[in-house]
Amino acid sequence: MMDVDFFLNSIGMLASWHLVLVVVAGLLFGLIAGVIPGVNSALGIAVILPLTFKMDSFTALMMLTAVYAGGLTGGGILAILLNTPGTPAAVATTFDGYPLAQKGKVNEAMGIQVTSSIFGGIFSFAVVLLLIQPMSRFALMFGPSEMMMLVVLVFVVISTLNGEEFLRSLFAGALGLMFSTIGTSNITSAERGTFGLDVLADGVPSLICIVGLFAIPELIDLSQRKSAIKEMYSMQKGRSGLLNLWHGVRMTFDYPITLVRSAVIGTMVGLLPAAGSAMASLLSYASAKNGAKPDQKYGEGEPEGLVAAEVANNASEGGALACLLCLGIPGSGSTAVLMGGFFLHGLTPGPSLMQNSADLVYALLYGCLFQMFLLGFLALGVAFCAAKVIRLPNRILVPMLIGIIALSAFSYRNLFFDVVLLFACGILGWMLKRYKFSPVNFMIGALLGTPVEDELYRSMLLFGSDMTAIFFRPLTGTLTAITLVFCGLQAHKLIKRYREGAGC
Amino acid sequence: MRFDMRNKIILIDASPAIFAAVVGIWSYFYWQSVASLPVDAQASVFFIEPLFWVLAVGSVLIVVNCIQIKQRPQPAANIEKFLPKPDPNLRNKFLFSLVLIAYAFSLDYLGYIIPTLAFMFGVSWCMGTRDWRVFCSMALFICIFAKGVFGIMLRVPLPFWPWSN
Repeated sequence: MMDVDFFLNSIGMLASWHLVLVVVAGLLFGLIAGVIPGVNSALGIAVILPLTFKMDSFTALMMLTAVYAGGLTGGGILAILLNTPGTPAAVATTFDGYPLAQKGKVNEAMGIQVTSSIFGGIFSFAVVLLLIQPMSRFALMFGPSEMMMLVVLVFVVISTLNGEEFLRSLFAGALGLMFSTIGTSNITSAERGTFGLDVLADGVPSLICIVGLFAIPELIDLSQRKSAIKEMYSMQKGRSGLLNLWHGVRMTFDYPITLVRSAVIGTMVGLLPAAGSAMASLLSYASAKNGAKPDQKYGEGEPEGLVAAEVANNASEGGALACLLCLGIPGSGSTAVLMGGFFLHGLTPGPSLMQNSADLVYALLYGCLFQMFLLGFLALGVAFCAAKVIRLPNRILVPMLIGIIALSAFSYRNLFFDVVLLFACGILGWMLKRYKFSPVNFMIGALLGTPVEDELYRSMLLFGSDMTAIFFRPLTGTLTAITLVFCGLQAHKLIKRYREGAGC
Repeated sequence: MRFDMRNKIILIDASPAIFAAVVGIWSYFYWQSVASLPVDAQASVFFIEPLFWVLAVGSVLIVVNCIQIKQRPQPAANIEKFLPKPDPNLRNKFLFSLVLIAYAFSLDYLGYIIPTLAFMFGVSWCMGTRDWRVFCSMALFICIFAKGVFGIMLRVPLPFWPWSN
């Protein structure tokens, strides 16, 4: 449960004007990034990352989480205005948000979207604040073998979510693990796969790898599109001032059951490693649709559908952050880049973070709660200006973003070779994405490969040559059983599909 | 890729198959290079060896899965629906990737400003920008951003020009 000392300490850390300014800047940047078609939170965080170099770790993390939160909400604004989800998480928002805007209720839709987002965020961070201590205590029970099995389980879960591409996703995870072994071995100090280059002796830096994997593929795809906007909707059509916006804010609370149910779904899905906000919002939308009254027409501008999608979208953020903080497993591209921010400031998310820097974790979570209130005001303001921002053409946006990202890669170690590594990782990421090998699995493998190798080696020293003994440890055994169940279910599905003649 | 036989059509999704095969081959050479290290080879390859087998088996399975044998549909026009949709911009995306790598390699020799401006103008031109005011604004922005934010605020020792190295 929450500790009063941590609460007071967090208030002390948060009570500074410069922090408020940093958070406002981060939220605004995230909102704008989310509103620009094709630019997601991961790309936004990647661009802003170098600006946090000189900040202290707490301020930097507050800024990065602000960009993350702003990006999620900004994606929803775009979905309502243009029927184009700014982020994958905003797909469900388009179902009822855009039809509502087309009915001339654009301001009401904005009011509902922003209020729902804020409610979802506040709910999930409040839950996470209550759960973080028991969660971290549980995470501390993870020894080398448990951690290794957890990584395998995460690979299998993500691969299962990818459905048809189960095999390719697992393959990407194994490739990520192999990729992580490049550099000097912690066990033997032997240099592996460095081609004799000193700059590769420490391996490919995690931050460069993450930014490359998630930011560059987006830019490569954007470079071939003049604009992601298919259809321009006039902001003026349904605009009749702040009253409508306020009406939208109030309308959100007409659906209390949906609000709470979607917030619970969002938080729970967010807690699952790698499930992501897109899945949370789609699940929540589906559950709201299933319980619809006969007069409600989902998909034709039903406000409750918009509430369900947006609450779950932002509620998943708290869960995903808790998963990152307690287990050190990023669930999405955005949380992976956020993890890069932790590394940059000398912090390693995972069980030890809560043990060593509990003050910082609590302050961060309280800070995220505080961000939600600020986000409410800022998002409503940005919603009015959004139509201008989204007109920024890709032919200007793409080259400038690449120039800035190259700068941030250089400033990591003051080496231009890191820019080469960044783009090489980016091209690899683009291929993984294009050929449906899961980039998230690859990234988890690349990030967790080194600790897994070290712990596997340690397990071998502990258990000797009989490695099967590790599977008889209670937690490892449980995780193995869950992994096997997932594999079995997926194998059953694949065999069924094969018999139906669809191939794999 | 498509091969027509008497009653059947063989469809091969070539790109992911090639990608998986290349990864499989790379993992073999990587494993071999570590296994042949003069010192501590066994401990160094301890984690890599099982991964190699996973990747090797995985790449074979993926290549097999990329091959589909279908009954020839009637009428013949329906064949098209089996074929994977080609990406019309694929060539441009590959070119763009090559330009990115060339840009990254040139930075070490030419400093930050010259390759970045050349890259920005080139890409922007290819994407349809013809207005010199846009080019000037982009150049101004990136110079101010690099010098102001990185050079002065963050004190990053960024080599701006070839002679700054």
